[in-house]
Amino acid sequence: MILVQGLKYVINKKHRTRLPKSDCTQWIVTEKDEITFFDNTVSAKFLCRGNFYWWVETCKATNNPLQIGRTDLHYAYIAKFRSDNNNEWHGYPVTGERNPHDVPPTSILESWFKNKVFSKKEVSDITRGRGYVRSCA
Amino acid sequence: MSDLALNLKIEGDFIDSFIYSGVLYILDTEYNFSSYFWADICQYIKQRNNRRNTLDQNLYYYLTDNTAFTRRNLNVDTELNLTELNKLRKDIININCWPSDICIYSNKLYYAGDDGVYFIDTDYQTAEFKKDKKLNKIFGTKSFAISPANYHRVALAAGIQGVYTTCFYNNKNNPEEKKISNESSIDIEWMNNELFINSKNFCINKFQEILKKSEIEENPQLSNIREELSKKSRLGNLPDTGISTKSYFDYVRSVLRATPEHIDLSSNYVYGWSSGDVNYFLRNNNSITAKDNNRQSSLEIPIGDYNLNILRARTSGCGTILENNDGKLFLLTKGKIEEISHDSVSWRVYPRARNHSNHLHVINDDDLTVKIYHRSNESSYFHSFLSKNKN
Repeated sequence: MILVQGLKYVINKKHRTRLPKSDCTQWIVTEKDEITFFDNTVSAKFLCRGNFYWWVETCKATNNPLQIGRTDLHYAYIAKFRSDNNNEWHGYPVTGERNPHDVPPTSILESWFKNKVFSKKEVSDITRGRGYVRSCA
Repeated sequence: MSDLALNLKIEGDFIDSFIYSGVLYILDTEYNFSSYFWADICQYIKQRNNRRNTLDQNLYYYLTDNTAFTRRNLNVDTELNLTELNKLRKDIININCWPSDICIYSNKLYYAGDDGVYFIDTDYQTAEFKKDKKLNKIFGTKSFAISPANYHRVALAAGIQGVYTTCFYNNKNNPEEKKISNESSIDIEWMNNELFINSKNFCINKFQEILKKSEIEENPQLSNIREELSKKSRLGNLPDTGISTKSYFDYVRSVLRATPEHIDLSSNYVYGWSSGDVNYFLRNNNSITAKDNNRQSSLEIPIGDYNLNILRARTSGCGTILENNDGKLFLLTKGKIEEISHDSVSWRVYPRARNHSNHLHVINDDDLTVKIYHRSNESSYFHSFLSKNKN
């Protein structure tokens, strides 16, 4: 467990050591990157009313989202962070496909839209449960 | 000769649109719903574009009401900028969210927000929104698709959470939610008592038809229902003929609570939708089967050569719109498939509409394009209108 801006953060091995599946996405970035993402989202105040932090890592040159995780079929680009009963935070990549709990709320999507991380079509697809994914094939 | 009667590009930063009973509703990226009389927009364009001869009058009448006569050689290709649009606005309301889906049915504007599904009452005669102090929430989980039906019922596709119905016929402050399918779906359509659930295992749930009180009382073939309900109303001095209002409402409530019947379908069907009296089934991206429930006939259209990889499809008076995995839109009409857009944000047709069945709305990055197609003079499975039965 480490402290990130005063918040306890734990690397959850479930999202690093198992086979990638749609209901158990796996990080494909380092633990150091995962913690950096959490640090960034806390700084950016991307905390939603549901008490989740959200993050998309983008390429500095193009502003395009970067792959940070995967399922068995798709690469994932959105990170979701949650706290448990001990106020310890952990995170995992999400695709946003078909899972109402893995679709970022309006406040987060609006910020990504206005900062041109996602296009209007991409935000529209995410809200409709189509996710933001690329095939692993 | 163009199939298009109108190609209207409305400038603006929009998320969604809906036309209902002569009112156009547009949702912008500030999450404001604005309302406009569609006839006002048509009238404004007619006057601005100086189109005053008799043929143009007919065309503009058709644009306002798609059941009117139309000449296929007439069309309008024009634009409306934001300043012009704002002058025509009738009302505005903010919903404070980017909804997954919207739908207007029975004068209620339903929208799927971040934490559930809500509705706003609308008035098609004034184009105004009823601004209640308290939000009308009818479902407590984020949903990806909304499909309302009669008697204040709404079907909701909540992705991996399943498919639900919610019903506030009894009490709008206490809607009754019911899970009707475990299928992971983001695409549903409720039409004519059948709920099409598009998922990995496409299926249809058939709901029991709710008969009108007058039907039960007057139709000789429904004597068993009438007798059953009449028995319940024989309290004191109530008449033997007819059924009491209370008995009728009890009947409605019992039907509303009934579990829909799961319909077995061919395992070849991977996707389905409905429009008018026709049900459409996609077979593994190779063909579409259209089954007319009234005429008890069907037609199969091969589409395999087009390699479309269809993601979503719907049919209305303008034809059948196919969206593929690359985000392209295609219009399928009798005999041809043509690409109509390659970079749209979203789109909508109106298979339940009486006067707007030939509308296709396409949201693009910088505009809403309203396309109205001429009504086809030929009977075709791939154009459809309101059901000839009850809807």
